[in-house]
Amino acid sequence: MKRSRISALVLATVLGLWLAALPLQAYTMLQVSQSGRVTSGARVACEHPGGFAHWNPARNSNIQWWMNHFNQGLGKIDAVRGAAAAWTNVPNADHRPVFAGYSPFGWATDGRNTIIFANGNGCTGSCLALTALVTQNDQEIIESDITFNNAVNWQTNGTDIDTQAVLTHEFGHSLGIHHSSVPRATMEPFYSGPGGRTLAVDDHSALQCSQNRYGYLRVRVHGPTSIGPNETGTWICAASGGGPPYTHSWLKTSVHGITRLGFGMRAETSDSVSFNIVCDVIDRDGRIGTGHRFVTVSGHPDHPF
Amino acid sequence: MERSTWKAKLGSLMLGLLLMAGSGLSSPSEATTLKRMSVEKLAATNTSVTIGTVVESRSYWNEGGTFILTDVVIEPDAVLKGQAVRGSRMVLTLMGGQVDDLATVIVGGASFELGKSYVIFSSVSDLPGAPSVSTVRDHSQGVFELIQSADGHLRAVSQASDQHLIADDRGQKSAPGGERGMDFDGLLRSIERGVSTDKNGQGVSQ
Repeated sequence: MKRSRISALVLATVLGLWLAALPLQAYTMLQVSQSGRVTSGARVACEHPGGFAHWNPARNSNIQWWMNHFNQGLGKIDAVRGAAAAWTNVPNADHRPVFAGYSPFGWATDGRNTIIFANGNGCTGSCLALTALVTQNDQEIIESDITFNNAVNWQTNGTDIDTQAVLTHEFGHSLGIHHSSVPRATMEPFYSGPGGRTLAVDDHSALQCSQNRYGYLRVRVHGPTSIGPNETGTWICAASGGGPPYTHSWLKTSVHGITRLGFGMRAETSDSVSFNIVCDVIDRDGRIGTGHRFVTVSGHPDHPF
Repeated sequence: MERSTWKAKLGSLMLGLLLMAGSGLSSPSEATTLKRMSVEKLAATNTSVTIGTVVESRSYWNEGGTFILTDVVIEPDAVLKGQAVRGSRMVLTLMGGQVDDLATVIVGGASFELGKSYVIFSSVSDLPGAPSVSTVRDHSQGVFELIQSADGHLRAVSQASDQHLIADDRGQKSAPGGERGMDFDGLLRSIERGVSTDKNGQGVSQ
């Protein structure tokens, strides 16, 4: 009896320690709320009713980054490309940071997303790198800039302090992602070496959260769902119907039996707008069916429903 | 402030701060990439250490129209280092803020809220379009929020407690006090040590 109690106590202790070791929360998002506060971005959950800073990939999925080639900037293009590719390759998200070229400009609100290595810009001493977000109403990010402290000897050969790992982390912030409590995630609040170049599943989830909340009008298409898990196939959709002019900003393809697809569009109006969305499903053997749904979106035309 | 009067005045200050901190058990959480600094180092390398309350803030475009800046007006409750005088307001200029419908956020920057009290480590530095202004050079590391803990004690929580920190020379990578913060007395002792080492012209370890 006594032994069983001790065993239960040990088991409970082990269980408690194990639960305590689990991360309390995973990724979080960066909320920009200015009411009465000079803010550096609050940390909120994906589902927070106040939302969070985000790009609108339906408006523009390519997020162009320019590189100021002064100071240490000249030798860091591969690091920029690598960091950008890490986020571009996140599945089921259409945010594509891309290297756009060199620029003589930098840490300024000028409509260009720029990376600069500078002696100043408010990033000296203990500051190694700083990310700025420019947002407009509804927390939509319209620009981001990153300044690196040029006094630091930034490395590209996998030793510390690794440019690409830090830039991958800063790119995460530039996408509206705050910190994660998951150990070894790139968005973990502590630098842990070149391993930060590679995104963890939790980092993927953060960007997918932004995509799902702000990325596109989510349309459930009724109709064929018969693409099997081992087949490749393509959804080809077109929108038609009344209302004001609209544009398709991108078309998402879906494979492996996914029946929910994203369909990004931007209506040139702030009124409600209706679309009839028709999707053909094509597999390797040809067309196998059609699905459609009549969609009405009220208010902000880019708002997901 | 003379060292002898320091502690006497801080006693009454603590009571006032406790009342202001109320039960606001906020959890500051910021971002960016900073090298971890100890309180001693923050005190030694910054020109001013102030305990004060935010009474006003104003955002504006810098002279060249290239960056939004914010002036934060602080009413000092105690000056632990520097030239500021108790009762005479000090102005900190920070990058970021909101003008009309545009907001610039410095991820990992210092964060202030009207009416709240902070321990602030500041220095004179150049910001975009604003040379030689008093600012929080160490960003979120340079600001501690004062909160009242559940047991009624005053604690100081670094705004960098959830920061992207690179370990200091001793291998420490958590902000001083971590997410729970430091006991306020402990923070004051560390500041005093940092200030005195600076006066003696000695270097400060991390």
